Amino acid sequence: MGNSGTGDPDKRAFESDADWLEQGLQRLSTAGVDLTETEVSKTKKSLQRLSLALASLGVPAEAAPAWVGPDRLAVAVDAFDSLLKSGR
Amino acid sequence: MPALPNTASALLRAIRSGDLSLCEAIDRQREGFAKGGQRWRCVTRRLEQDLLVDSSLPLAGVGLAHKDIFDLPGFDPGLGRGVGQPASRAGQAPVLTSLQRAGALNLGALTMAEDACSATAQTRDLPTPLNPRDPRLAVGGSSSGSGVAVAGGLAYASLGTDTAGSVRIPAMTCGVFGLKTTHNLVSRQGVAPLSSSLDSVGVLARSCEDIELVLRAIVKADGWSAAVQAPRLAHWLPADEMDESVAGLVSAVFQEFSHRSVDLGAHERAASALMQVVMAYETGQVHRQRIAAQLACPQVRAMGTLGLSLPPVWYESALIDRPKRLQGFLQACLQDADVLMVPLQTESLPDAQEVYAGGARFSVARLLAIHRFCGWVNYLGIPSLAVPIGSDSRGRSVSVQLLGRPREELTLLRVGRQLERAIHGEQGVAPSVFEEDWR
Repeated sequence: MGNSGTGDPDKRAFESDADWLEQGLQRLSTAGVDLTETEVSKTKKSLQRLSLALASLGVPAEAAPAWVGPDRLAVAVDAFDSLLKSGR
Repeated sequence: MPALPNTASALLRAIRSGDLSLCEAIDRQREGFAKGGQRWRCVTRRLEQDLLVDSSLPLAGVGLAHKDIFDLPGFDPGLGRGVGQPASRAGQAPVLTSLQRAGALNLGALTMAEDACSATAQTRDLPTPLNPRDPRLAVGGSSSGSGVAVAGGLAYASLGTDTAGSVRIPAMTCGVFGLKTTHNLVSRQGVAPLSSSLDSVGVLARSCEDIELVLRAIVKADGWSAAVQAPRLAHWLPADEMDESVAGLVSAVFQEFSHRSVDLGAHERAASALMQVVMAYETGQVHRQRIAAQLACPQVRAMGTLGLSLPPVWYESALIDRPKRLQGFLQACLQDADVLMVPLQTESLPDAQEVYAGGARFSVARLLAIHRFCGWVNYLGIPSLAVPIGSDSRGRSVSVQLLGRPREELTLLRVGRQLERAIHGEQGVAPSVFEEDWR
C-alpha cells in the first residue's frame, strides 16, 4: 500500500486500491451493514472515483497517525469557525 | 375580496396603515394555507399556534411555514418519512421561537425529501408535492415543501436547510429566491442533522426584502457584517458545462451586472470532492443504525454506505484542509470582488419524469444538472443566494447563485434586490395561481 505514514503527505500516491477497498467493505460489515452485490459494486466505484479526486488533492488513502490526529482535527475545525466569524 | 399583498413587507405596510386588520390577515392566510396545502400536497402538519397580537412587531401577522425538520412543541419532525409523531418534550427549535417572538405566524410543517438527503421532492411514503409553476416540472429537494409553499403563495417565506443545495435547488425549481446562510450563522439547535459540518439553515421567499426580514429576526445584530455600499461583482461562467439556452440567458445577465470574469474551476473541483467525503462520512455516522436495520431511504443508504466504508483519514483530511481551502478561495476570488455570480443549473429545469426515481424518462445526467454547482459552496461554508433571472426558450425558470464572504448575507441580498428589481419589478416574484385564485 502506498501510504506508510511517513514523508510528505501531499506526495503520497495511491499505488494500490485493493487494501483500502477491502477495508471499506470490512468497515461496513463491522457496522452491521449487509450489502447486495450491486451495492458492493456501486460502493467500490464511488470509493475509486473519490480516491482519484482526493489523490489529485494530496489526500492519503490510509490513516497517517503522524500527520492526522484528534488535536489537529480540533484545531482545524476551530480555525475554520474563526475564519467564518471574521468574515474574511 | 382583494388578494393579499404579494410580499411580507407589503403585508406589514397594509397592516400598519390599517388597510388590513391583523385578524383578517391571519384568517385569510390560514385559509389559503389549508387550501393550497391540499392543492400542492406540500403540507404535513397545520398549526394553530398562539400569536403575539402586536402589530408593531417586525413580522406581525406574517404567515410562514417551515420544512418538517424543526422541533415543534410536542412533536418530533416528520423528516419526510411521514407525519411527525407526538413527543414528550415540549420545546421547539430556538430559530422558530425567534420568529414567533417577532410576531410571525407559523402556519405549519412542510414536506421534504426523506432525511434531507435528496435533490428532488420524492419520498417513499408521502405524496410528492406538485410544482406550482407547472405541475409537470420536478420539485427540487430537499426543502421541497418550502419551495412549493412559497411559489404557491401558501406562505410568505419558509425556513429550510441546505447541506449540498437543499434550499437553493427547490428555490430554483420553483422560481423563487433562496438563501443558504453562512455555516453556523443561524442556530441549528432542534434541527435534525444530516451532515453537521455542512448543514445550514436557509430562507426561501418571493423577494429579497422578505428574506432579509426573516433573517433579521433569527440572526443576532452583531452576527453579520453590514452590507457593502457599492458591491463589486465578478462572475464565473463554465459555459462548456451548460446547455446553450441556459448559458445564453445566464451570460447575458452576468454581462449586464458584472464586468469581470474569474475562473473558480480549481476551487470548485477541490471543494466538491472534499464536500462529498464530509457529507458521506457524516451521513453514515448519523444514520448508521437505520442503514444497518434496512430502514434508511435509498438516498441515505447509498450516501451513508459510502461514508461508512471510506477511510476515516479522508474525512479527517477534508476537515483539516477546510480552513486552508476557504482562505485560498477568499484570497483568490473575493479580494477584488464582493459578490460572485455563479450558475446554479447546467440545463433547463427537468420534468418530474426525468429526475424522480422510477420515472419513465429518468436520467442521472438530468438529476446532476440541478445540483452540480451546489455542494462545493457548503464545504467552504460561505453564503449563497439563489436568484431567478428569467425563463429559457422552453419557458422554464432559470436561476443563478450569488456568493459572498462569510457573514455577508446583507451584501448578497442588496445585489439580489438589484437583480430582482431589474428583472421582476418592485413586487418580487409573483406566486403561481393554478386553475383559480383560491385567495
